[in-house]
Amino acid sequence: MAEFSTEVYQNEFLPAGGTDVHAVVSITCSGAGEAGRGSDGEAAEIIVIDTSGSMAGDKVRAAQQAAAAAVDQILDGTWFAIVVGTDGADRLFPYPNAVSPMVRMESGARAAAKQAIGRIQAGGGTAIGSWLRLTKRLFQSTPQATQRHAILLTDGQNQSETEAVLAAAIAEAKGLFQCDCRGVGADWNVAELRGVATALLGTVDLIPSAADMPAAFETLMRQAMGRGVSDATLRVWAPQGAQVLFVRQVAPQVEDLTNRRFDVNPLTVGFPTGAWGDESRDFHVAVRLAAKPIGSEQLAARAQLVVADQVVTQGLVKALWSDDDALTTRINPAVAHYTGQAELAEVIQEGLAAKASGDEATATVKLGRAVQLAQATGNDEATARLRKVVDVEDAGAGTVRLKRNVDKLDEMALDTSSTKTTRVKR
Amino acid sequence: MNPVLQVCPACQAPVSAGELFCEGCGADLAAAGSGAGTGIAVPVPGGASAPTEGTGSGSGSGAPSPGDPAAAGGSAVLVDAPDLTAQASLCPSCGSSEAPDGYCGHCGTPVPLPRDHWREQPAPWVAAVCDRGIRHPHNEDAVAVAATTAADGFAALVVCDGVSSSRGSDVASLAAVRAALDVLTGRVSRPTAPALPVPAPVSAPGLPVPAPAVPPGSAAVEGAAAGNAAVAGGPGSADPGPGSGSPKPGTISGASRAGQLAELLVRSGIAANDAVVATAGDPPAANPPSCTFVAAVVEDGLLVAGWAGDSRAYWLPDDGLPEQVSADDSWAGEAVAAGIPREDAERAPHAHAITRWLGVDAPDPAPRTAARALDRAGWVLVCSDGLWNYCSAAPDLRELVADTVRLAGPDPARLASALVDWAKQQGGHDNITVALARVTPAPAAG
Repeated sequence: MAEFSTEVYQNEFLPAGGTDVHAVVSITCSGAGEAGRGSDGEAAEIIVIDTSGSMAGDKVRAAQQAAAAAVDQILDGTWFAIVVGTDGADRLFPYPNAVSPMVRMESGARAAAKQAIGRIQAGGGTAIGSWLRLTKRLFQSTPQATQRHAILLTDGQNQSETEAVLAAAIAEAKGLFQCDCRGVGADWNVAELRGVATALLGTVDLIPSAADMPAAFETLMRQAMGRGVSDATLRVWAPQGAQVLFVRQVAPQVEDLTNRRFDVNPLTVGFPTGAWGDESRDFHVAVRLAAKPIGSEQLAARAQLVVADQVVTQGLVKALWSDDDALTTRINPAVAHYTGQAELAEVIQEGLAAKASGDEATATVKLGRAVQLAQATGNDEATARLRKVVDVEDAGAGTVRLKRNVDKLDEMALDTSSTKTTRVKR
Repeated sequence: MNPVLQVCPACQAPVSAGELFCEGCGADLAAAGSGAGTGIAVPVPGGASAPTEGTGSGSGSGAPSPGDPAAAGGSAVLVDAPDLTAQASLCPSCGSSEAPDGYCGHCGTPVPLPRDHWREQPAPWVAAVCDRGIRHPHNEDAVAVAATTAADGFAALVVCDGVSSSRGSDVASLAAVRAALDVLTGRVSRPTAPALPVPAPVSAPGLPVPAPAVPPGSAAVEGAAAGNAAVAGGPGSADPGPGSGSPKPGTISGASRAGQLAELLVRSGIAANDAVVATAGDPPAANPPSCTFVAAVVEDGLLVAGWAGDSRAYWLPDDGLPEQVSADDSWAGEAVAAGIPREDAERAPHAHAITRWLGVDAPDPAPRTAARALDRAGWVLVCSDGLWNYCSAAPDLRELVADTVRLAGPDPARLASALVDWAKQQGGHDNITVALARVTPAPAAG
């Protein structure tokens, strides 16, 4: 049985007239078990491989190995299918003439799937929206599988359909399955794939070279199979008259949840968080209250995780109004840390976007601020990645110069990893 | 009518024993009938009232109040143990009935569960407040106090602090304080032949053994045997012991009285330990509940404290030397005893690691004891670390109490509430319990 626990990090003391309460709510799951083995439905996995013309050669061979490595990680009994995508999408396995659109994994199916993978050939365009549509149809054909997850691999941009078509396909897939996206090489568009992953509660990452693909797929699928809690919702209650300013996941990566928000009841909003394995996720919750007199206490928020309509863990965010400056001026280290990390992600993405559009002045300011924040929050990984894109003159002051002849892969690595946060030292 | 109410039934404002109308809303407290607290009189020997049930039953179940304690000539020992199993009341701010976790489900105003915050005031000079604090989700502290109405009579104050790393420590600590109070208020076997190995007469190492000048014998002592049967029945009821039937009034010196009170405290601690062990289940759970223990008895110009762990008893005279009477059974306490400055010891990372406690795995549950002569006016303060974490040294604590008296007044219930609020304003990192007895100078001997 999965067990959940919650810790709240905040300074609950507000000064006279203070209204805004910030807290980091850290939720930990342990004993999650394996996907599809719980009481809440079976699991299904679909592997989506880009087989456009640009994949020809080393990349398609690496993609074949990667798909096979992922198939090896799929637990017996899990429903699965493999989709190949070009300017349209085809079901590679089960074979197009098979009766069932998805099959349960067992040794025979595993061997047959690998044979099919061996016959993959590259050729054609890239229309990611059509890949998502077929994936959605396959999942919907298997309603007994309620925990649905896909891995999508591409090496290029969405050239064979319009942005609007992709956006519509993402909207249709939302809430029906989760999707982790991986881009190989330097020719894909980080923002485009991030749009898919974010909407479908997944991650986006760069696979720098074809040789890294099998290991990346193996890891992704193993993680997916370790998510024994099929679906959980974060609920945030705030008192009558209060306003939830924002709810943001801040670890293991920054994810603004605002667009996922739905109303549970007049005082409670919900945010889907997808499947959970043995892991911790931290959320930054900000609530605006009506100020109360010195000495008053009020509950500012209840942060709850809900699985199968049951509250499995809860954290209380509090507000106490005090006239003691020593208490009210203190900034909680976790809140400060993650506020910095969230801004770091934002300025990296904005800086790279400005650079791409030729606005070097803005890019220099934003990336300079990023260097400053990465140093201040102790994010050494981000600092190292930033140094491949800018020359740092003064990290503390955030003064930098844009490097000339930057390797495109270094820029993309900086972009994809911008949302990954370091945990606060507790 | 109940002589002791805890809160106004109309507006939930705290009210004191004997008040006829609520200061907050003017509600007629006499007409209101039953408050959250239930006063149960336990007679001391020779008292006029006839109790029907043992003390500290935990819910005051069915025990009728004997009426005006004055009828017992002020010598009845009263307890004021509220029913802590009751559901939370309506939200004082918006009237919503939903308060799933100590806060209103509609407006977020604190609506404490009875177990999370309560107050006892068995007599005008004795009161206690036990509170969850701010950071902890549960209140694992517990308190139980008893006193005669007369301020120069008898008082017992017991505090236990549940160890939050064990489950069920809130249940255990409450069982412990009430079992201990049963023994202390029973006072059934005093004087008695020592049935237990009691360090004689006062055991705290390094602390002076007092020889208080107290009048030999008293009404309470003389009638000890008579009260015995009347109060038996509580879970921690004391074994009368072989010598209990033959008190020798007029032969008991102050020092031996201190020794007898010390023995009583030891037995109350062992009863508390038995109560904690009983909550652990059989066989005990993997991580059985445990708690600290501190109890203080005030009688006839004498204070005797007994403890295991780091909950504390202080004697804070209005003038003269304020003292921590207990000596922490903790890493820091042992370090202080070994000569390390208090501030340094209490700042150490494992300062709070306690070396003695009550529970299945207790190394030695028998409390250590110490006594002091109460020869002047002052406060006896018994508390958990939720208070003393923010004000540890006795002189500082006396100053804090004096400052708080200036703001909140001298009523011990208001003072205890104000001290708890002060600790919450300091951060409220732990549960907070404050029990107070206002000592007035003992009457001249004779």
